Amino acid sequence: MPILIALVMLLVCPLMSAGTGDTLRSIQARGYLKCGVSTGLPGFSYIDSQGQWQGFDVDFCRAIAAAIFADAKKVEFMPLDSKSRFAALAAREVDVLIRNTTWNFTREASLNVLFPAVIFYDGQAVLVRKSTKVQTIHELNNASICLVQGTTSEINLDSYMTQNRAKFKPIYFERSEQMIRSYEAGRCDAISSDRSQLHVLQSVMGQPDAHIILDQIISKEPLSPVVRDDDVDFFKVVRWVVLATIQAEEWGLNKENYLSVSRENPDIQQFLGMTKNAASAIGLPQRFAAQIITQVGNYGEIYTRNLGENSSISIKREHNALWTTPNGLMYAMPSR
Amino acid sequence: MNTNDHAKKGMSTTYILGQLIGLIGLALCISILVTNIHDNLKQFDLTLDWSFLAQKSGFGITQKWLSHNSYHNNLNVLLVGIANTIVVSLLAIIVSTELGVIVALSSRSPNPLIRGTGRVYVHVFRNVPLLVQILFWYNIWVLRTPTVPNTWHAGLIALNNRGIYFPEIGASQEMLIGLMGVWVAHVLLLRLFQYRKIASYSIKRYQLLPVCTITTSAYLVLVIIALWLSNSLIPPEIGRFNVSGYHIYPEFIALFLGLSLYTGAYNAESIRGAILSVPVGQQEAAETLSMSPWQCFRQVILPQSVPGFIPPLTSHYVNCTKNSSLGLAVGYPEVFAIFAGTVLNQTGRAFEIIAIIMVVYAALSLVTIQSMNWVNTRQKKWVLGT
Repeated sequence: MPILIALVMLLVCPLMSAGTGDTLRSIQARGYLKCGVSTGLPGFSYIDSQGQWQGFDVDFCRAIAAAIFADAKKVEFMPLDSKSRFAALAAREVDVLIRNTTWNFTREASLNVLFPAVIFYDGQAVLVRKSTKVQTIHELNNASICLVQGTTSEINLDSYMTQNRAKFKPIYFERSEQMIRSYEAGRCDAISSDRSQLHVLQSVMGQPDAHIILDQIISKEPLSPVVRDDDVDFFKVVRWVVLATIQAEEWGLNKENYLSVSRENPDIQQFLGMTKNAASAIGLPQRFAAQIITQVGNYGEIYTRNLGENSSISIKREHNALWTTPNGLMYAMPSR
Repeated sequence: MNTNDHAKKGMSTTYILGQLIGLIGLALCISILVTNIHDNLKQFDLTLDWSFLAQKSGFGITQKWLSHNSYHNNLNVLLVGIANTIVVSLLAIIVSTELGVIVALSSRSPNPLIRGTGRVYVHVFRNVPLLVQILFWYNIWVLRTPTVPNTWHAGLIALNNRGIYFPEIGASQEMLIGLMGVWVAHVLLLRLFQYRKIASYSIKRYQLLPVCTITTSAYLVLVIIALWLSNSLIPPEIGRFNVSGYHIYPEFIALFLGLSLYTGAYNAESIRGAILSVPVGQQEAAETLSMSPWQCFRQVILPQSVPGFIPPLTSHYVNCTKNSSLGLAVGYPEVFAIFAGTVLNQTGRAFEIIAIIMVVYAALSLVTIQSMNWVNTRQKKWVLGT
């Protein structure tokens, strides 16, 4: 439905006066950020029992609002399905899209969008019943595999199976809830999706222990926020908000200790805006990093709260740990 | 007012002026809309680009009537989707019409049980939303039929919660073409019988279709028995994950059942209404001429009711085709689900794809309407059997 609204807007709205390059100014004039999230994906973006938006993606929306307004609550969340997300961004329905979106060449080259920074390194995997005794994905020759349609997983699985000369019958579902129900009823032998999704789906199954996520990863799915490519300044805002959360974790900064830690280190003082930094060049307040840390937290806190030990999903950090750990890829560019 | 008056009025200046003003207003609206789309697209830096149709699709489709694999391009996905939509809609239209006729006739039955069953059917299937019905059939099938290891076998047919399996035909290509040839020859022969009295018997035009249906069914039964006796039918076999054989999927079954039963209820009411619209005097007159009930229905009531139900049936058929897009809910790969779903997401060309989808459904509807108009202009001849 949102896609139809976006298209109808294109058809009937009089020429909108929003020029290019003033996303940040229009957000400030409006008084809140419009952030495109998923229609409900535990761990990433969902509405909790109190009616509040929660999740990993949601926290990054809040971090941007905290950086701009010093108030993480100034966000309006717009739930978008995977089909309408890019149309909604192009039609200026949202300022930024933080909706489990994979950064790839085709999208960045052809959709008039930019991907500021990776917030989660994901990869496609396969979940099977333990009773099938399947060890590797290509053993699933001639099996029926359930997938959610409108994602990159169809193409990844197809090219993996083709390379391994295995055939399979893809069964596409519109929503993951339906897919899970059909898989549990035996409509298909396996399901394939991003690993983070499989963890979430497994946690809601009737008997989570009867299933296993195979170790193989068949694709790279770097998930990133998405912005329009007509406003490079706002692109920089989103990129440096993400990098600030990672940098804060690297320095071990959180809302309790950031004032005490900053006393000894001039780099941290500059990062937190106690001494002059470059934030005003992209329209952010000097203290934007401090505002993110106090109101939302650093990358590690955001992760642990939504996807890690403190959540019901509990996905290991692995590639999403800091670059100083063995498999970690999270690396913040210097904040000088 | 007769035709002459219309012609005179058509000539008057005010009439022409009114038409002209209306036409200019319409043209203005369309031009504003088109300029607006163009300006808005330009504003958002969205230029129309159709080159994605030639790109490799990258994904396979399980249920299809045209060939497709991940190396075929997106245009082929569109064609596969259209074919899937046509197959399920056409089958549902045929079955729903037969259902409609039977249920409408049941309403004339003197037997209260038959009459009541017909009424209950109409009320249940017309009043429950189609999406609910489709999901109902799908869940019944997936949850209530045996799983693959417990597949239910009956000779050459197998059934489990992944669908129904029929034997594959092991006969050679040439043999199958030969068998098709025999069938075509038999149809041509029947046509010949229609025009020439051979062996002192001729088939009337209106008898052609029923006779052809009976002979075709008999022929099919014979062919199947012959293939079976010559061991050319390969029965379905349970593999590690799936059952082999010619396969009909639960997604298709659910959508087909949902569409047929839902549209059938509407058809039944339209046909019943058309029959009721024939004045009672007609039936009484036929009875006084001592016509049998069947003769009375076939020769007097039916010919007069056909013009009454063709227009409503046309719109039910058009609706049936459009409703097939609900296949999305159960994962049947019809044109809306795979083209406006998967391809749209892979390429992000929302505007182009929605435009194509709109044209496709409009074209399918227009073809349906044109065919029904064609039937309408000829129905008198057919019904009266001349």
